[in-house]
Amino acid sequence: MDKFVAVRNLRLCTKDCLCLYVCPYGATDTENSIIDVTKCTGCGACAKACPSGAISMVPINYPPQQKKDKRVINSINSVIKNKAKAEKIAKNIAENTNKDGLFKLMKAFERSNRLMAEDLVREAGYMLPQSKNAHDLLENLVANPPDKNFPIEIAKKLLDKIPCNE
Amino acid sequence: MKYRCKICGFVYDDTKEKTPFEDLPDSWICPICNAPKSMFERIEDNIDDNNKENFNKSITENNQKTQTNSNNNSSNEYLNLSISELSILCTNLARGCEKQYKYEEMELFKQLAEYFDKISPAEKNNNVDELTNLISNDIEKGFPEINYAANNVNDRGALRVKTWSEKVTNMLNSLLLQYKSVGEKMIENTDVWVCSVCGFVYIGKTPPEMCPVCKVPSWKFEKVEGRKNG
Repeated sequence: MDKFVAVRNLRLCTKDCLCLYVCPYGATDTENSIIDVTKCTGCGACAKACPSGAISMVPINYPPQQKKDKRVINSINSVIKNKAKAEKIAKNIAENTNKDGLFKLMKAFERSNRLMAEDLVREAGYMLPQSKNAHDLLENLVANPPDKNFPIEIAKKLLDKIPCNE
Repeated sequence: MKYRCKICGFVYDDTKEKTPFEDLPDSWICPICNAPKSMFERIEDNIDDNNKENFNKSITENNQKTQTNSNNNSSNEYLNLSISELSILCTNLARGCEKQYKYEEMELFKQLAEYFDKISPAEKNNNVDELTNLISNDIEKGFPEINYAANNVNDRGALRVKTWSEKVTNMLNSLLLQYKSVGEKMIENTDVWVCSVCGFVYIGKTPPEMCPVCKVPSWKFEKVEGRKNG
């Protein structure tokens, strides 16, 4: 069976402390309220007992992401291109204007375009950091860095820390 | 007669309101999401949904000849991606790590994104008109193409992202139009908010209780800070 680990959502936690009572390993009782993953065995007792639904059982291994159709990917990619451009343009306008209103509006546009593009990228085959797509990209960057200053160690570390699940 | 806001879905029903929709001034805005009057479409009773279905069906049929239906997306020529797109990819993967509570990995992806942001070349036309051009291109061409391709293979995830970002893009479009006609007054004595999930932009003293596009609660909205003095 796949393994899980308990995670507490501090926004939902109402400190009823039932997780402390039921955890046989003391994993939920920590000074910073974050469940100790080195102690948690994934039994799920805390999540079942929590009256505010603040604890969820997060899988350690994720299933492969949905395969995407080439045409869908292409159509999404062309919108991503525009969003990437729009983000840069909005940023540039904000940096160079002396109008406070336009500054705020363009800052919002910069953020908005990034958020849309990130979401589009997810649906174009990069949902999971564990995916083959993400791995291939990192390996590609290590093999052919875009320039001399590319931080290869970071890409290598990521390849090391996130195993491919496909 | 009924009219629906294309951004948030609010329905203006002539029979229940004092003023018929047609008589509302052009400056009238959606009471839920502040979208302009031009974002409203007339709801044709009954036939609306049927029409949509037939339209989708005909698209699928027309496209069957050209449909390639290949699931092979292993080609990962990252060089096809621009540097700023690589940055977007990395902040997205950072977010993916964050959701899985992998904070160290999240930081690493963020560092890659920062590197790409730093080296990405500037755009040529840094003006509001170019923003309008990009938006029109997405609205007229980009989103219909996603719609067409995604319907073909019943990719509901792609349809979901198309629905959200199309609505947000429409909203950005109307904000630009509004700024062009009203100018700085538009953002005096008020605040600008961005939904941290879908990117919806809202202008007002407080964020909406629920995002009109992706339906997350108000605390998911980020306030845009003004320029630091000095």
